[in-house]
Amino acid sequence: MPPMGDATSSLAAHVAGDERAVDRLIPLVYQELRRLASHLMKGERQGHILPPTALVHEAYVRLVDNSRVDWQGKTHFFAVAAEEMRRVLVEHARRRGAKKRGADFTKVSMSDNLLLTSERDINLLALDEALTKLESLSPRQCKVVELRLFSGLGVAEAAYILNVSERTVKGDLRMARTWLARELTDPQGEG
Amino acid sequence: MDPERYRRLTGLFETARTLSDEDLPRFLDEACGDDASMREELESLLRYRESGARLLGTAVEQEQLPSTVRTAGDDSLPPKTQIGPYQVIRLIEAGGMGEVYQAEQHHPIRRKVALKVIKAGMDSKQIVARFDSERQALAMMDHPCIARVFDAGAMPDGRPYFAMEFVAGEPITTYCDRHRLTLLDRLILFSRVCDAVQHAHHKGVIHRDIKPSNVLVTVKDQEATPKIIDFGLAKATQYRLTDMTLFTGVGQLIGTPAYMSPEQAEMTELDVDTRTDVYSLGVLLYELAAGTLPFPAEELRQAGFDEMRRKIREDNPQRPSTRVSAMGEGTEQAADKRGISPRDLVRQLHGDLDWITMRALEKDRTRRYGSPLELAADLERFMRHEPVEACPPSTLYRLRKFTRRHRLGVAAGALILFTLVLASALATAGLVRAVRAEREARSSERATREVADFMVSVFEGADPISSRGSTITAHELLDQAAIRIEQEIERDALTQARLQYTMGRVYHSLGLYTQAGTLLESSLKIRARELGARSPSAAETLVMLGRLNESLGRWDEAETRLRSAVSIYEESLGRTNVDTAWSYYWLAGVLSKAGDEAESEQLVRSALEIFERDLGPNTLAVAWCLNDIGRLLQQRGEYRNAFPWTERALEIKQQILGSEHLDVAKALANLGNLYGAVNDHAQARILHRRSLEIFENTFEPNHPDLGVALTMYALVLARAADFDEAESVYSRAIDILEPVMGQDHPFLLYQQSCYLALSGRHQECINRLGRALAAGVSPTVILHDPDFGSLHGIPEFEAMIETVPKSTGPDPSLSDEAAVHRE
Repeated sequence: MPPMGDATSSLAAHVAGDERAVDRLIPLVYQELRRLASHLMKGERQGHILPPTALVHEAYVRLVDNSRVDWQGKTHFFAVAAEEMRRVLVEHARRRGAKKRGADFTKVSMSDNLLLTSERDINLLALDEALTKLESLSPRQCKVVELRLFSGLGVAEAAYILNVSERTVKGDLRMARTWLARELTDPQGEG
Repeated sequence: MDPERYRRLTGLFETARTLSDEDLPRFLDEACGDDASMREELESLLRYRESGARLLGTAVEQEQLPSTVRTAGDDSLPPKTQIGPYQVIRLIEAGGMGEVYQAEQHHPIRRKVALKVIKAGMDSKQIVARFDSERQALAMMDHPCIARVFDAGAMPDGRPYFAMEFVAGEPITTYCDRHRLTLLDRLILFSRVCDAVQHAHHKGVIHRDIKPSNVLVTVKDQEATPKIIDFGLAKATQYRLTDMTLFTGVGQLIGTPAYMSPEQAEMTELDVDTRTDVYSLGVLLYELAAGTLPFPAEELRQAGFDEMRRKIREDNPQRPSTRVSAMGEGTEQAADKRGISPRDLVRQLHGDLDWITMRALEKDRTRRYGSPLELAADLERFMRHEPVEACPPSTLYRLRKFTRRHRLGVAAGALILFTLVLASALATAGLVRAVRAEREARSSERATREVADFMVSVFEGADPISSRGSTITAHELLDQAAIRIEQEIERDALTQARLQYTMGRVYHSLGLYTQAGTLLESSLKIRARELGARSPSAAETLVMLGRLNESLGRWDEAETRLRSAVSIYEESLGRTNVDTAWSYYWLAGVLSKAGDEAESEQLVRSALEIFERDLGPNTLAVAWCLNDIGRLLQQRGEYRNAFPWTERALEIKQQILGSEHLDVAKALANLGNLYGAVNDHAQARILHRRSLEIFENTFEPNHPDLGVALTMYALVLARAADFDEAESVYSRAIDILEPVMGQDHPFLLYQQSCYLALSGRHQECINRLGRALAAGVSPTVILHDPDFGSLHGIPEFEAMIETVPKSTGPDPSLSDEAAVHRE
């Protein structure tokens, strides 16, 4: 485990106005998430499921000294982690897909957050693709979904990160999830 | 599609999604006009509204976690699928445990059923076997409010399923909110749920998973009936246990544990009995009444796995009325859904309903209602306006519970602190009652209660296992509390200020001066801002700041603060008020140290008069004044006059406080000093020894007050010429005091000087005295202190005290002004 101080002080510096401080966090978060994820996949058995938001929380607990970070700092961490979590999941899905030589096994189930399981449910790679497409239409909506889906951030926190009103976030979420549902069910449907 | 067009689409969708089927076409006509592709786009999107909501969860609108939901329709069972004797009609919902279908049975009887298909990953055989073992008990349940469970079986793919009575309804909380049921109607509905659960218990079945989504309300012939579903399923699937253990590896938990009882959170599932349902009913009642959960689902989810379990097992939730009044916008919504104003909602919840709910939510199940029936009976008593059985747990009870829970883990200091905190929180009530400022009076009672509650909760929340060693020190508890005050910002500013004030007082009494200072300054700032710089509340804080500065040896600062307090009190409360008297008393203490004995005595006598009249002659306040007057007389060398005051003070204190109290110890030391002053060193030594014992029994070994008591005892020993003993006591004192006071504290320097003079180390003594003078010790005091008698005639000493007009001072050989520095 990397020393706790790194992530903690990066967050503190960021909240204090050092915009680049968060960049230092990215590799730490990425590594930790990857480590946690692969640790879990090793003992993967049917039915063992894990919400990514739990992974992100776990990473947070491991990397950050909560007593030294306020909610802004914590929120920034989760914002960074959302993006990295998506990366880790997609990589994992790709690897597993390659190993099994069958796209069926790259499916990831969707739940209140997102569940990793070896069968059924939606295809993570498809979700990733859809998100990329959404990003080209509305980067903010894509970000809102990422924050929600991969880090479990609430509306208020997302509003803080994106510097918009909670109302805007809610509207974005409603639109984005509807659009995504259609995109995932019927990718050609969009005109 | 380009981003601009997508943005427009988002805007149109946001409006369209709220429209009814009748209004929608007109809106589409108007909004899209000729843009046929936009219209098509929008219409197509609207068809995905539902699956969209499932995709990212419904959490956008709801606080509660949505259950596990899969994307629409991908591999749910299509209609007409045959499962055992049942034929699927349609998918009703996909949830955390799996899917629920509406299905039809044709043989042997024709009926509609709900089929619950458990998600993969659970052992069907075991589940079915466990279900079979309960089947008989389940079959015996016959209650209009219980949905029957008919059958369990396994699907071809191995997934287990349950068939049960089909209930077309919605969760009880949703139903109540949607129909804006009044509190009373909700309670009536809830009582019927209790009856049903009681019936099941009577037949030997525990539900184990009571929550709104398992308590549905159906409406038939305009009559609403609650129906409890899933009876017996939790036991058969052991799903809670499964659900939790699945995630122990990562230390996170999926789903909402909000309805889980403390004993379930223990995860020794074997030990769950009917009272676990009483607890869950309590959570449901809480939610129906206050519109929110005792522990917000979000909060539990964000806590780590162990923290979540600890919370459920140990943290006491806020009372419904407290909780509901602090939800901001949520308060209004909750009130609106109950058809009343926020104020009325809080009022209706406050008291009996609070206690009934909290009793059902007791951590210790032996303190809960023994059965759902008892809970329902108490609710009926409430509805009939009869006295209810549930009553607020007394502070004493909570204290006992706290100590029992922590047994050996509680340091003696923590217990003393606890009492102190309560006393201090409650004492403020008296002050505020006297205050005329209307705004403050209104918030006062509530705030006081909140402060007391908060402090108690800090103690209850303290976990000796997580703290250093196996003992919580008072210090650690306080730090936890200070952090929580910072974090729990939803409190109103004045309550915050009161908390800071109380905490500041406690820190001060523990000798943790830095922390005390920060909190008190912050409290003063808030109070001055909210109530005015000349408000009695501000004065209250000023008094404490004065006392703090006195403890720190900053007498000028102390005097300034206390004089402001006195002037505010005199102006707002008058010159004969008890609070004004207290400000006199504390100012007098500082003045006597700074050398202004005349004004000091006048102030103490004024205070004494008010205390005797308003509080009675045998009170501690009176004893303290008597003590101080005795000391002032002693300082003037009037020993014979001083004895009766000092002895009377000790007598009152012993009468009220018993023989082991700190205040008694201080009085013993004072009397000891007096004996020392008349050269009865043997008697002085006995009294001081007794005093020191009390200090040692009371304080942690490094407490500054113990240090002060030790220095005094060292001097007594030195005066009795027992230098060996004095030396060892003295070095113990310095070890304690120097880290806290620093090396330039006037008290410390003065005491050291006395000690050095008595042990004949004159040169060292003079050096030390020089520093004491620089730190603010009055040369008059030095001149009149007999401990320095042996220094008279040494030129450097004479130079130090030559500024003192000798004629006004009494004979140095008789005076013992320095006693003031030993208090």
